[in-house]
Amino acid sequence: MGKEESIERRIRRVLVPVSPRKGYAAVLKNKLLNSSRMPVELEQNPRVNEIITLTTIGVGALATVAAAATIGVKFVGLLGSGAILLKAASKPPSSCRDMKSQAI
Amino acid sequence: MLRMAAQTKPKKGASPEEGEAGLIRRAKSDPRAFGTLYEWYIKKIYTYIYYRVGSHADAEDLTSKVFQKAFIHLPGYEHQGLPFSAWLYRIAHNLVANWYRDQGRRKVVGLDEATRHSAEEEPGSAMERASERDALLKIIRRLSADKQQVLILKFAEGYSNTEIGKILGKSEGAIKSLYHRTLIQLRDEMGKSHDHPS
Repeated sequence: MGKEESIERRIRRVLVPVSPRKGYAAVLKNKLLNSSRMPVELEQNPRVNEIITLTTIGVGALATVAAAATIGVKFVGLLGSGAILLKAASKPPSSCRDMKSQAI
Repeated sequence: MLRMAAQTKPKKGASPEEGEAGLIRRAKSDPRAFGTLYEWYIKKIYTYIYYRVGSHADAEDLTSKVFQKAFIHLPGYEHQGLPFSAWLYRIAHNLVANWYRDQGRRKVVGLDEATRHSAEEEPGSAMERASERDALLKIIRRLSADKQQVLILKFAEGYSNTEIGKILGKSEGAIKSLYHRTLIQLRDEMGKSHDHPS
């Protein structure tokens, strides 16, 4: 039991709450509350393996379209005020993050 | 102990009579009410995902998806007595599982990020503690998903066994048993790691 308590103390020191980077939570909230709910049929499209939203970082529609074209990610359209991209199956997430960085 | 008290004890953003269940009902048609739920749970969901995937960039992406999914599917959500957080954690769990499946990889939490706290807390022994933390995190990340879940929910999120049971859809006894097995495995793995350091 003594050993387990010791392990518990060590875990407690390691697993501490973490916070997202400054501003992330507020921007995401703003995006969520200002976007329309996505149609279910869009999310269930079998040709799509990931949905990417660029409004998380507050880019406009034109920048979104341009960034999508740059790396060849399929741009599907705008829903409400949220720009929604559907990632082509061949695109790794790292490309999408690069795209976000470029768009910023 | 704490967060699930939201079911009976209203938190910031909910009226005294409303509580979490009422807020969820309102959030189905009122985005501002969803915003309140979001504020209650964003940090907890982020913490959970961060320890599962091991990087802030991926944790941000997946956290965003969790709340997008919740926002989209909330109109069809039926409150069945379980805490709202259970639904969010389930979405997060599924997204993390998909993430591992799609990526075919398992990252280890970066040393710098994982040990930032130690340097702030105890500068004198920061290096030693950093090494210890990194080793323990690596071992934790090798545990099965359900064992990692229990540890994260218990230590990083501060939930009791009863609350973890509700979140994971298991009995309190099952959680106690799982937690006990997790500690035993951790002790064994730490012993091996000590005998054969990598």
